[in-house]
Order: sequence, then structure tokens, then C-alpha cells
Amino acid sequence: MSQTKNHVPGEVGIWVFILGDMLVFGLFFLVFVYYRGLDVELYRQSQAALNQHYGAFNTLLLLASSWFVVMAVENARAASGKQAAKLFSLALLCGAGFGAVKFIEYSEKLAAGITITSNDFFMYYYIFTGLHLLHVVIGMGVLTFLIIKARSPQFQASDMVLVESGASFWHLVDLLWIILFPLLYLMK
Amino acid sequence: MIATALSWWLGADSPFFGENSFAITTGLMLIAFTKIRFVIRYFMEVRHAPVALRLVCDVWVVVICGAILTLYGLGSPAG
Repeated sequence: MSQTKNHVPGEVGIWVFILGDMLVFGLFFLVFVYYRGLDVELYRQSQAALNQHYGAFNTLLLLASSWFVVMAVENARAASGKQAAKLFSLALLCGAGFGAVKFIEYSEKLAAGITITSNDFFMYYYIFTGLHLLHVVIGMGVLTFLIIKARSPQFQASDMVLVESGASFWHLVDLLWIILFPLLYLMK
Repeated sequence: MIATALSWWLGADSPFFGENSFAITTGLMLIAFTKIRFVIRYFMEVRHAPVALRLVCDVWVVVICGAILTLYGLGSPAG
């Protein structure tokens, strides 16, 4: 690790976006907990219809993907672009796995007649997880870009700003799910 | 990974806390925000960032975690 103090990881602009996103999702979390407190029984009954195993498996997938991205960034710093591309590809695979699990989960819910209009809990469930899934899809696009960049023979030290920006965005995707999982699936 | 497994166990009607919802939820949130601080500092490399960014991230972790637990405590029926 060759990082020094006072180094912003990536573009300053990406951090404005990341902090803005954290603020917006932070408010989402508070709104959810507030309205949950007004009708705890409804939220508990609705939560029982969710499959905790899907949520936990997806948490592990995103954590693993974050770990692959950390190692990819270290390899990119060490000018090992090809190895970095392989690790970014593994992270991308984890992202695809997350999307597949989410697709199965949504399909099961919809088949059981549970939709965004079923009740307040499921409205928040679909909105929060849907917005998060949108972040996953965008993040997968970013990872694909980083794979192409890292594989390029012209990959150089100045590209690290792009690599760090993309990596920071992917970690944001992981970070948001770390709260969404206990908030929606586990909270008692 | 271990923290996720612990959350899973806590959330899946673990016998350790029985019906004590407040203890379970507080535990879940503290585990989640500890993981988040780890992700921010080590994965996102904010530990090497200027003090302003480190401070903003830490304030977010403390404020959002504290507000979630406060709102949960206010809205939660006893037990």
C-alpha cells in the first residue's frame, strides 16, 4: 500500500456524488424506521414474507466483490493491469450474482401477489432495493469500464484516479446494502 | 463475513436474546455500522484522506446510526 495521508481516493467529484448519495439513503433509512414505529405489527408481518437467506447471500456476494476490488486497485497500483482486470472481473461476477438473486426474489414476491402497492413496508422494500439495484447495475458498467482500462497496454499511473473513483463507487454499493439488509430483512 | 453471519443468526430468531427485540435490533445496527466504518476507512481508503472527508464520513456513521436507534426506540413497543 503506497498511500500517503491527505490523498482523496479518486476524483473529488465522485466523492461529492458518494456523500450526496449517502445523505439521501441516510434519510431513506430514517423515514423507514419512523414509519415502522407507527405500525410495528404490519412491518413485522410483512418482513416475515421476505427470504433472509437471499438477503444474507447477497450481503456476502457484495462483501466478496468489494474485497476483489480492493485487491484489483492494489494490483493496478503495482502496474499489474492484467491481474487487476481479472480481479475486477470477479467483482463483476459477484455483482451479476447479486442481480440474479434479486431477480429470483422479485419474481417470487410478484408470483405471491406481493407488489409495491401491497402495503407501506413493501412500498419501501421495492423502492429502496430497486434504487440500490440501479446502483449495482451502474456499478457493473463502471467495473466493465475498469476491466477494459486495466487490460489496455496503455494503462498508466495517471489512470489510477479513474480506477480509485470507480472502486469507491462500487464500495458505496456494498456500503448501502450493509444497512438495507438488517433494516429490511432482520430488524425486530 | 463473520459479522454478516452474526447478523444473520441474530435476525433469525436466535435463542440468545429471546424476544428482546430492542437488544437484537441494537446489536444488528451496531454490527452494520461497524462494518460500514471499516468499509469506508479501509476499502474506500478514507483513512488516508484529508481530515474533512474523514470527519464527514464519521459524522454520517454516528448520526445515522444514532438516529435509527433513537427512532426505533421511540416507535418500538416494550420488549
